[in-house]
Amino acid sequence: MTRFLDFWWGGLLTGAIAVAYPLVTGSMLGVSGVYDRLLKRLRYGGELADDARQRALLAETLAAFGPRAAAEAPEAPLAPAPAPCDPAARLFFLPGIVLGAALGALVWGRGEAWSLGAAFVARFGSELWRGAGALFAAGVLIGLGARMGGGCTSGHGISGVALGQRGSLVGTAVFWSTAVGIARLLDAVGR
Amino acid sequence: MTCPHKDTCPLFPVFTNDKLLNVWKTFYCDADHATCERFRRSSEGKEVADSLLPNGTTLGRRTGSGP
Repeated sequence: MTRFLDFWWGGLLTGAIAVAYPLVTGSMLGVSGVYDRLLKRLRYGGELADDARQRALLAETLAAFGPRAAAEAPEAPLAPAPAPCDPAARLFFLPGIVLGAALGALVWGRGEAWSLGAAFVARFGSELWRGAGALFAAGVLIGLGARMGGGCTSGHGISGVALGQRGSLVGTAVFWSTAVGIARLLDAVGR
Repeated sequence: MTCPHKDTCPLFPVFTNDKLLNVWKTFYCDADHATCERFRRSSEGKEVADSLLPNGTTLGRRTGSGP
């Protein structure tokens, strides 16, 4: 019989990382955002050092609004905390997703870390190139959707919904209902 | 109308000064986010650098210490 970790463990662990990630990095959890920052870091070759960044920000703010605006601005009620170990956290985060999933599959799943299940094979066949192509195309669509929607399933679905953000609530409702509808449609067409 | 990206905008984690943060939020996120260059580029599907400020300037360019 197939063994799976109880579903509520997934909820607890996901909730734990959603709380821990902002505490460690100073930014909200969002997988597409982490990829985005990583790619930008690779493209632009790093960011300004923190001191230089703050000086540059002050100069830009004064240039744009003048000294009175900055002096009279009220304190933000929920200002983001500085990121104490942001780069290292992101460095571990992305491979951690893959390793964690593989570990979970090996320990609590069927031990088939590379299988997406019978339904996937039935639809796309057992050839590697077809499965990989389908996943790549799905990844591109997800990336486009996440870009257009300002976040992905984790950013909107976990962090945004937990914060009660209206945009995230609407976005999550839209992409979940769309996913269910498309899955049902494919299932009906494939019969 | 408040910007839909106000709470997830990647620009804000670079701010450690609350007063400076609130200036930008007040003038762009809360007042008129349609004029925010970050919002415009995002809406057009263009790439938005983390160092791009809402008024279109790039953080660090003025001081010559850009990325």
